[in-house]
Amino acid sequence: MIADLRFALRVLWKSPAFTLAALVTLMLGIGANVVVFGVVNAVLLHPLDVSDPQNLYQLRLGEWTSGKLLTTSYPAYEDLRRRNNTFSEMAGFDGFAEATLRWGNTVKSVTGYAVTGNYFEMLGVQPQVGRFIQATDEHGPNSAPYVVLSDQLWRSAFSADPGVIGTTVRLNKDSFTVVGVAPARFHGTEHFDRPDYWVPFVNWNQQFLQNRTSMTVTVLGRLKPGVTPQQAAENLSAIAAQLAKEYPQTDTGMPLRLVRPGLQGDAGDVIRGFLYSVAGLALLVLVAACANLASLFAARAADRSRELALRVALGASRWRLVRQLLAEAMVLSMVGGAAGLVIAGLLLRALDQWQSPYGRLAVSVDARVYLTSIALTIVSALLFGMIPARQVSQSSPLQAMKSGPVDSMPLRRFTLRDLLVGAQIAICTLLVTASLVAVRGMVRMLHAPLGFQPQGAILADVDLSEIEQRGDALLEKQKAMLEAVKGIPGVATAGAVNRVPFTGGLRGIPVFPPGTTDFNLNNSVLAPYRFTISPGYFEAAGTRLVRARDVSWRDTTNTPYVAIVNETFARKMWGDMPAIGQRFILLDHLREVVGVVEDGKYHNMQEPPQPVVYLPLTQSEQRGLVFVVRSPRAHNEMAPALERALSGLEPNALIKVQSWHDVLGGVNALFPARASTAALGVMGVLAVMLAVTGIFGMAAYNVSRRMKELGIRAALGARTKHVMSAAVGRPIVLLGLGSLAGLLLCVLASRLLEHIVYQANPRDPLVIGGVVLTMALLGIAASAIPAVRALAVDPSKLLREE
Amino acid sequence: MIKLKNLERSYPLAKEKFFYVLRDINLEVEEGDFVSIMGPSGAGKSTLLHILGMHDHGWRGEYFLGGTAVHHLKPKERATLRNEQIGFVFQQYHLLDDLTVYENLDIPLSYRHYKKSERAAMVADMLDRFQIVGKKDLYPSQLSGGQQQLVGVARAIIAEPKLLLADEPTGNLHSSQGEEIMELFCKLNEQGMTIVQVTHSEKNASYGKRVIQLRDGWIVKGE
Repeated sequence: MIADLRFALRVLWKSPAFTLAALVTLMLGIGANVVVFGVVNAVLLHPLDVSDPQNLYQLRLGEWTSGKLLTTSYPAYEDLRRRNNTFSEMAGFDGFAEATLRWGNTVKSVTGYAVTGNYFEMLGVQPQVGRFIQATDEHGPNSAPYVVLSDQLWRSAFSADPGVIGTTVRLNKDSFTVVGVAPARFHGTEHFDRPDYWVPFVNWNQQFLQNRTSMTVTVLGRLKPGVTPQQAAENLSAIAAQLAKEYPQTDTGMPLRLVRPGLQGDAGDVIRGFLYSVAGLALLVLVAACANLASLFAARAADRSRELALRVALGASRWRLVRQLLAEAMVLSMVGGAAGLVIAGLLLRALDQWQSPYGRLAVSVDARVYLTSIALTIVSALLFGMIPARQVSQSSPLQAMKSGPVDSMPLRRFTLRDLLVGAQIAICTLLVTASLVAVRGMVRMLHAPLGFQPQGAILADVDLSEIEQRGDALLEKQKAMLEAVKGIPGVATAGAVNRVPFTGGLRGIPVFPPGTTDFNLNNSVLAPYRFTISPGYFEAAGTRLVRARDVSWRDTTNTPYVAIVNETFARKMWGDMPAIGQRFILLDHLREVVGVVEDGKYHNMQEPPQPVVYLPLTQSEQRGLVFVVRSPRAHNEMAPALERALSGLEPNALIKVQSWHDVLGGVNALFPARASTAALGVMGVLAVMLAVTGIFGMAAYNVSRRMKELGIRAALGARTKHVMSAAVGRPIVLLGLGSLAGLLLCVLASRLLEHIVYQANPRDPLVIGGVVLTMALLGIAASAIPAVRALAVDPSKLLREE
Repeated sequence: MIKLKNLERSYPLAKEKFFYVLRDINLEVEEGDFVSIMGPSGAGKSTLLHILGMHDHGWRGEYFLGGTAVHHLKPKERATLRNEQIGFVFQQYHLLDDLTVYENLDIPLSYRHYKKSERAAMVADMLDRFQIVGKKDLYPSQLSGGQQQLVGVARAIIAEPKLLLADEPTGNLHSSQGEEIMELFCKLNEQGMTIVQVTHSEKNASYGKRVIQLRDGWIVKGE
């Protein structure tokens, strides 16, 4: 065996170009798979850093709810916890606790979780400093003014000072005592979330503690031994039905189910589908790489057939020859795999540092990643080493010594190597098509009607939660701020809204028909998203007012309550009837529709048309506002002017100014499209590189093997086209057939692509045109050099070299 | 048929010097002639043959083939002329290994725009004429050397060239096979084909009508 390895090293050393090409191919193929597996491992396979994660489940509503973590109200959580007999413990959290942290001179915008007192105890996590919030801390509203810091916040804001325990900090306007610091590896139960702190519900959302309509709590539970998730779900659904009877006005009795925590509730299905699909495509890249190498190895084995035949003649067994070829494949694969692992390790480390819109993702090269890369290396070596080994084991030594054609079977011109190159091209076409489909998806998404115009607009997010004013005084302050913004030179138009689309926190608000007296949720006719707006918001946002009027400062709590709805709201409520003048009850007020605006996207790009209602700021108090400002002036001129104007009126308010475009780019809106475009783009580029080397290798090999034949053909009268056809005709035919097969595969794999790309359509004429063009260019690029070499054939020289 | 005037072939050496393979070649070959070019190795025999066959374009001087001034033709026009007028036989046979005898004979015709039906008839005729019908589906490796060269000659003349160039056509054959090929050449010559062969063999040269001796690139006899 050692002799085989030594000989393998010598053979590979003697063919540096071949060895380098093979190593780069393997490095790319294995490296891409290790990176993808590293992410799959971190997101899907790595258990949460809590005790007994296999028993931990998250409650979800029976219906699939995209991107929304919230499932139940705090009172309902308590009822479920008390009444169930299938969970050993239940805890809850609200992942939308955004706040301004003030400590000493530090003012920092932070996000954290509001949690139930038993949260840490149920998860079985131990603090690195101090203690955690405990169930015994809670004795009713405002009884536990404690905060637990994350390791990251502790280090960034408190310089990792253990003496911070016992210190009082302010979160918005409330004071909290720091009781502990979570361990560095603990980030809650969501892979993509990195909360900065944890505070108890009883001191955070007191107004919701008794409110059964505020679905703010995500519930986690630990199953009792021997209980299946199905049994637990049935138990919880029965309790939910019971609660609906007890609280018909607030509880819907919707059945519940259990999912694994960690992937943003039901978004886990999308993330899982995406990652497994990308992993599938990465494996295809490796298969293409192996086909490429198998083809190269088969060609080399054919070249060495005389040497191998001589070995047989000298007494070598066939197994010995196979072992020799496999040893070469294994040596190459090991070195290529090691290089791939190093590259993948660097990429994974970069990915670990990257702040995605979903948060930071902890990826690392652990034992599982190492084992996977070793397995990929061995399987690759077997895949591309076995084919030439089999070829050699089946060949006739006598024939090989005579160096004649192996046989005269009718299919002699269609070799295994052709099949391998064809398969590789088909896979390449599939991946190129997938890349172009992703790019098209991205372009489509960028041009999809959003219902607002982010280009040229600036957002100033102002948190007024700490100011004392309420009611009319607050409104006057907000009006003054808007006037101050409008007074900035260069501002064309400005408006305000409670939150801009795509920044989360949206939930359906029940709408009841006029005359409703029983506000049972089952009597609601629609659950639209709600935005609160100032006059002028639509103009500033670039949202088209389809009918009637905007809200006005004259719409007050002393005048009839009004609303503006979008087209989907109007259609769902009143069909073809005019919406203007129609009435409905929402948030305890009968409201009249005074305007209709165009539809848009609000939560994500994939959502179907959503009903939306816009309420005037004058009739719906709002403490946090986002000012939308449109100006021809440059962002870097406007941003400081905006900050000055706003902070002049409210010096204590935390103000964040960003271009709307940046806000949109940094949040979830385009992230799936960008991620899929990036992932498929990389796969496509890798596939193209492999296909170019594959076709080039085949064409170059063909030409070098057939120089004499080409010389004879030229001597017999072959013209340029004949020589070209003889030299690179086969690779070009294979390119055509492989591309066709790849396109067909892609159409068949549409469903796989749908997991990755928004509205994936491989039949898109532009995509097909792009694929044909790419493959044609690829064919030209790969066969140009061999073709030129073939055309330069000099028969007089070649034929005399014999 | 052939007229060469002051033909030279050289390869550049360092410092603007040249190595001359052929020098001041003046030669006339009449239609229906059978010329043997002889000389020691490195005399320039094969180079001269490849120039006549228009495989080599790096020469200077004048070359007339059947009244056409080859030296004035562009490479593409030379290729057309070659395809119309010249057939080539090689010492190593140079049959295409992956093609059958039938396909090897068909190849030159496919490069000359014959229709498929015409080609089939011409190949069938040639197989019959050379009595190799039974071998039409065999590959070159399944033939003896003599049989391969027979196919090589058949391939060279299948497009009915006026001039047959042969580079050591019997160099790889044993004597009886060599005689067979030379007798075949004589027969073709009698039928009107002009033949120019390169040979080391006095005996083979004796089948021809005229011998040209080359030495160090110069014609020393038979100009």
